[in-house]
Amino acid sequence: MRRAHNPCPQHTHTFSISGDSECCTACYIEVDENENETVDRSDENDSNNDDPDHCWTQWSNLPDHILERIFSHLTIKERYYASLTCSGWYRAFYLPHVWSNFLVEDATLGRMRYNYYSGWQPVLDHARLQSCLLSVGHLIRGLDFRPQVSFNNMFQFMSLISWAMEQNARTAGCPREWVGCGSRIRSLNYLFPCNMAMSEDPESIKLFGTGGQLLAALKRLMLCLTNLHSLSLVDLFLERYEANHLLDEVLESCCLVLRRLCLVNVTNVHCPIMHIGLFLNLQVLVVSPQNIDDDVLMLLADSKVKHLTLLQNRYTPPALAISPCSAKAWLTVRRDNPKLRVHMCVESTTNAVILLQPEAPVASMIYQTPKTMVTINSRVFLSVCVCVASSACGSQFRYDNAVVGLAGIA
Amino acid sequence: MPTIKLQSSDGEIFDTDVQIAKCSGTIKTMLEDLGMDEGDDEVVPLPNVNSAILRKVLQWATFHKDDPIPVEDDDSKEKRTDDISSWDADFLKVDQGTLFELILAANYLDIKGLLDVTCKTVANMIKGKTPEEIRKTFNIKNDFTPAEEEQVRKENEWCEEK
Repeated sequence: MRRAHNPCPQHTHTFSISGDSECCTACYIEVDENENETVDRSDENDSNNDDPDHCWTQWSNLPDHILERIFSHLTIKERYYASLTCSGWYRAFYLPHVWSNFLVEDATLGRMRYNYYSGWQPVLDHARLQSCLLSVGHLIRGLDFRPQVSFNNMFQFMSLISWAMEQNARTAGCPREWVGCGSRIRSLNYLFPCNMAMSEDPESIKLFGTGGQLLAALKRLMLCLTNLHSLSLVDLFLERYEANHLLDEVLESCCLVLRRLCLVNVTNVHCPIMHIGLFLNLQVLVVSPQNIDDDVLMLLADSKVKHLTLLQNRYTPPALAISPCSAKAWLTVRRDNPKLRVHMCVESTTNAVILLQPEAPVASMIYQTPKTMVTINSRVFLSVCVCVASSACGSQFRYDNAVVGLAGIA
Repeated sequence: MPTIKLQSSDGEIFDTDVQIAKCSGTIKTMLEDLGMDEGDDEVVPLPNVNSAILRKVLQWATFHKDDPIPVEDDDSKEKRTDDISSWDADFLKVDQGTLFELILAANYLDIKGLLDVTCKTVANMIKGKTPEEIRKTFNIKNDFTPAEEEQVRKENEWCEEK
């Protein structure tokens, strides 16, 4: 039974093709062999006892990286079911990229339980979570938290995985089965469902922020993650005193490694977050305009940040309520960090406008709003900043970008 | 418009716009490494792809020739399978053998966009099915012994809600 004993498919090396003609020849032959196999039924059928005339397909023998791609699009349960079909796909279940992004939603690894007040609710099943982390915890490269209503599940999940990573960090040694759990995590996303408006009235927006124990669990987790390259915290809407300390742990554990930071709506009010200017190797920063000020810009002027996106989403306070940074500060940024490009982005379902920043080195403005009309003001502003961008980097691309941004709403 | 000649495994020659052919990372590298110039009458052999599949691939590449260059896979990016464009969905209404060969061709020719959308299509075919239904759909042989099958079922029981 050739396939079962040789689960590693012959054409795994197909993608290693370079200009090297020998390599190409090698893989031509191999795949030809594979085609023969499909055609050559008699050979296949030797191993098939039930139905000697049946021709099996080669789906079980796809190259690893293709199986990874397919499996990564499946939910946990679907991966499990697929892994039960044949030995080739069983192996695929444990391929690292299958688990590279681990999505945690309300019902993830949960069981339905009846609650007197809110009816059937998914409750995190600790036994399942533990088995899961023991089985694939060492493969996870990214955690993506998307709670809807079951915040306790998020809390429990964060606590257990933090505990596992803390065991790994202990000098006294870690229980063997937990070794490596979470050690590959390089990205963390947390999207807080801040809009708690009742479903009967979808037009209304009721903002609630996070905080308390949930925030404490998140911070505990962030302290454990020492190799974060990308961090995204969206719509936390913290109190000022919490916001000021939000990134304490991240700065401590990932000051050198963090490359991409996305902080949308840390607060609802003006509250500059100084930490964002202190990551030494940060390249991409996405932040809402109410969370920067002149002092933050001074820090960014001395940083390696290349792309700064000022994002206003549908929950960001209206542009009128936020004050832009001073022209003087932006001029300093342009002088000291000439590579920095500013992108301004507004996402909204209503008539939102971009908060203009005088003298900012703007490279693009993106309106993801169906209702906004571009005002003459922002057009003038845009043409000015396009000139700045194209004269600064001499590239037509920025200009195109800006035009695309405009065309989208015309 | 400069063209090159691509030769399928069964010997058919396809006169192809260079820009379209270069959707394929493999062909692009070949052209650059071999220093083939446009206008040369040389033929690029593609012995891994038969004419029927190459025709499909070129049809796809022609429609998508103006797509932005796909960015590298990002671990933190959300994996979606419901964002297949209607043109692609129609294009991929093919029998399973063709889909399988399209995946191998996209892999060999290094066309990320096509590989992406074909893998998503396969994922969508797996979704919502039991192991037995998946085997039937793809005509996959169950090569587990009953004991092995029981063992692998137990091993990852946690994936399923009890």
